[in-house]
Amino acid sequence: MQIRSCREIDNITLSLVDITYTSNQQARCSQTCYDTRLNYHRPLALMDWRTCAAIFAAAILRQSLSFLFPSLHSLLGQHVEVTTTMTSFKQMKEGLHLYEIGLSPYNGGVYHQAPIFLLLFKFAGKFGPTSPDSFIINVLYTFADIITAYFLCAISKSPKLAKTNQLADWVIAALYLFNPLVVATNISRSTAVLSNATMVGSIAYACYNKNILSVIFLAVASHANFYTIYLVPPFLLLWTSTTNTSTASVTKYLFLYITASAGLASIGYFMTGSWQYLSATYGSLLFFKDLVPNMGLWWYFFMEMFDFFRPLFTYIFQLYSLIYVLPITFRLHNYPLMAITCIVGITTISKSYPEIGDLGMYISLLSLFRFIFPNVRYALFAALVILHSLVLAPNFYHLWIYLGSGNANFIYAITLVYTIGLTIIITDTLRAALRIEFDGGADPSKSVIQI
Amino acid sequence: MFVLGAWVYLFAVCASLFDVSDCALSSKASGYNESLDLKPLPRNNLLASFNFEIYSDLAEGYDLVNGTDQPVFLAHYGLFPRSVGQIVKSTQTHELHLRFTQGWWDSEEWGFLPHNGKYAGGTGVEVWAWIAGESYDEAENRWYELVNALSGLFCASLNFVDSSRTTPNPISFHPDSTVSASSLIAGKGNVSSSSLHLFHGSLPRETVCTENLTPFLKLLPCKGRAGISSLLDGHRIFDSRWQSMALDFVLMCDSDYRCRLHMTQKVDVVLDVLRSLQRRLSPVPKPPPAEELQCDTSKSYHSDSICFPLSTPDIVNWKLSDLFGRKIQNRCLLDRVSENGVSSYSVCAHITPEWHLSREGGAIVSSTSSKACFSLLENDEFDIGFSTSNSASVSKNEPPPVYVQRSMTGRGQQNGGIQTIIYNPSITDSVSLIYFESLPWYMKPYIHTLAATLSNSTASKSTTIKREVVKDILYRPFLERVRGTYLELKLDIPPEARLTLSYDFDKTLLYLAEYPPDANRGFDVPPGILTVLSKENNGSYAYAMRTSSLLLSLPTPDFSMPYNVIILTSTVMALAFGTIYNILVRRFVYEQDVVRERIPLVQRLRPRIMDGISRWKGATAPEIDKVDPGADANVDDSLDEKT
Repeated sequence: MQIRSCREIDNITLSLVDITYTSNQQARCSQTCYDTRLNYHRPLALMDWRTCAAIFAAAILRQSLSFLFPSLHSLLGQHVEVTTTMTSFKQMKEGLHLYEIGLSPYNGGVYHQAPIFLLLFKFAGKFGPTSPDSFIINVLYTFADIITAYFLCAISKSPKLAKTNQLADWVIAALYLFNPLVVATNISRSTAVLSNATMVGSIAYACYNKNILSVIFLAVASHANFYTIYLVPPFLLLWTSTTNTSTASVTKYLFLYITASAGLASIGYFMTGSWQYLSATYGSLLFFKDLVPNMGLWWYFFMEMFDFFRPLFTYIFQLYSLIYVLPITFRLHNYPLMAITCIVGITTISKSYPEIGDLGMYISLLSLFRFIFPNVRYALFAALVILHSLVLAPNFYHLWIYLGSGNANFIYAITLVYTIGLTIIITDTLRAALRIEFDGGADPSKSVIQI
Repeated sequence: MFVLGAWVYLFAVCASLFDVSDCALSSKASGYNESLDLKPLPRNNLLASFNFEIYSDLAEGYDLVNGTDQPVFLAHYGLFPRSVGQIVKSTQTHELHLRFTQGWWDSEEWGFLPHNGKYAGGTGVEVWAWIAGESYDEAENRWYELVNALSGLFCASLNFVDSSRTTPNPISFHPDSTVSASSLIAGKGNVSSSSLHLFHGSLPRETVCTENLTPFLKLLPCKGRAGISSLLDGHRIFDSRWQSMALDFVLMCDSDYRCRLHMTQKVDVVLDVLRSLQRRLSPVPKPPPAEELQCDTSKSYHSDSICFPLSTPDIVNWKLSDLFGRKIQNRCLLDRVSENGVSSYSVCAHITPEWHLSREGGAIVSSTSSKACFSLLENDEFDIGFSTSNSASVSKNEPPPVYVQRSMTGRGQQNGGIQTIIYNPSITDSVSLIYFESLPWYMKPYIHTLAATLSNSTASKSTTIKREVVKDILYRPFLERVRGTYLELKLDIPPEARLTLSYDFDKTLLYLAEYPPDANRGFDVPPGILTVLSKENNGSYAYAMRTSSLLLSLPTPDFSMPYNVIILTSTVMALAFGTIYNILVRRFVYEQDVVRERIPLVQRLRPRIMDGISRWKGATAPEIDKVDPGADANVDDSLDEKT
């Protein structure tokens, strides 16, 4: 896949929405890229007709699921594997309701999501009711998924990755859009869909050297989903990769990021009139205030932990999620995108409120690294382990909560299996990436060992 | 006008208790008053209402606030129990209401609650108090002091009323004292910042039992030995369909800061007469003999050999001592009501003409067809016999202004809903009321799902209305482990309408140590409180009633697992950590580039063994070390490579 400079095809002005709904313009959706430093509203990349078709089909799928099974939203919204208290749409509605009747949604344990969601959904409410199956919410979530797929395709064709052998655009788009984990997360109306879209957007803009936009997107993403803040070190590599990675430029982007984050934080302050929201959102996430089962390691551990040791292990668990960031960034400094992907994968294990949508996002990011696939050794095994846990998790949860014929250990065991499966994927792909770094994948016939 | 009001009130209190002249004479002295009302209810139940009132000496300059000038506090309490007096003094409590309730009041059969529900609590223990404090925090600390002291005094778990079970300043409750202390304090002029704070707490799980009754009786001047309180035997009181013990302390002041401590203690019991009689005859239940059976003769198959027993026999004949196990002993001589010697009553029976009363001891004060009153005498035992041939004939209680029922909806232990149905039976009048609900923090309600559905019995069409019916919503969301949800609704229910309030909630998990020993029994949710406001009197209190408490089942962990979970989770985390760091820190080499000498194990170990031997031998053979130092290093390298 060749990348041509945007200046060759500057006269094509297709917006993203046009691409989605005009399939007769497939001919013009060639494998091209815009480098639109001057016009930010221009699309990053144009897509071929297969990608357009995949996006179109995904939009149809989401609309028809919502239309045919209106109860699916609340059903999936109740599933602890799919949404957590940090992303639940029902709690978002509660927070929005409190905000609209003039109470602070953060004065209490009801609402733990970022203030920016309140703004967004309040704005969405102007166009219609904000129930999970209403038109405006449907459009918003479908759009978020489509733009995520679009960003993924853009990353795949970006100069940072284009020299390698990539999967076809439509495969990458379809891997994201038709991933059952992603579809389920979307239908459950988890707000992680929106924060994921901004995170992928910031990667995409960074790949096209639109660093300011990328910084803003990352600030929004980390404002909405705290653990995205761990991506800042690899992002610094990405932002400064075209220039010399000097202290000055690193400081500049770090300063920009902090300014943008502080700006977003102060929006929350001005919306609610106090800094109370910080403890209600990030505080309850960091200290694991809301004890609800999920696919992660935290809930049962802290449920069973002795009171005296609870603070100690809270710190240890948070440190555990943080401790990978710098080593991975340093080791993969030549592959900042791979470092980002690895950190996304590891936070999927170690974050306090993980959900299966995180895994969907991670798999989609992995699909960008076609060149490491030959070196992946346990793909089948890991896939089976994950599949096993994903099939059993809802069943065991049902046994425990609804039938009473199982107990909490069932779902706990499944979360352990899920974590082990994720660990296998992460270590396997990390090793494969380092193998490529070692000799550029030059001689796959030679076996390597680590010493 | 305010001063006038206070004096009028004081006058009214005196007038209701004893003669006006008596009041004027003994206005400074403490006093005590007791009475018992007996009222047969349908289906052979008996409502017995014990009423005790104690008031202290009148004190001038009651120390409302610890101001700069220290006014004299009560020198002595008189008949007022010193234990309660000291507690309310040290915690600056101006009003205290304490309720111990068990059982269920059947509104549809029995009608109005006694005393318009003023002295009936929700299941378990309920307490609310007005406490003075310069700041809310100060008052709140005094509140915890108060409940802890009451916990010791009444052998109840009131010390578990912490911030998560406390609701501050609900609008459902109105103070009994007419002279508000804040105005008093303001009038006093020295400490104007102090004000009263209302706190409410409830323990629906608390089992009310005889260990609460004993300290309750000890507060009375005659301590349950004489007078009507001698009937209060734990075995009989708690073997009832419904019982409520109430203790109400009110600091009553006039505008000259002359205050007295006033305490009302009430015990209301609904006894199942037949069960009590049965218990007296034989402690082990057994079927009655054939000749004692009362048959329903209206049945078509009724004959001499076939009997369909009446659910409640019509012909009953029992005495007070049959139900309570003893007669009323003596008269409590401290009872100031009977100090005049004549024309005051202690025991009243509310009956219909179809009942016959027989008296043993005591004296008749008044007797009409619907009410007979008796007074107790010194050195005497008193008993009343009740007999009738139609026990269903009882003096009707008015129906309550509303009926209420509350239940949980949904299934499973993840989420659920609460549904409260309030029915206004009146054909003509609408009812305005306040519905108060406090939920424990582990119930996480969604206020945006709150729906008020009105269904009219005439149209039987249900419509979701909010504004016309729900006038106002007061809501404070929960905070994990700090406070529970507080919800108060001002409602206006049209005649003959049924209002259904419903909302969803999520259940949460608790930490292991927070589960009670019988975690799978469930958790009690405090009863909701309905306060009906009177139409005429500008929204003041008219009637109060409680819903039943609810049982909330929460998901439970495996209680035997702490160590297993710590070990297993840590293992998985260590596995991920170890593998990732292993991959990150080590460097790649082609396998073929690594020099690997395949040396048999014996050979590899030999130099070390020889080395060991040489050391053991000491300095005798140091040469061995020097035989092949290069080979030794090689072997070490290859070992490292393999690991």
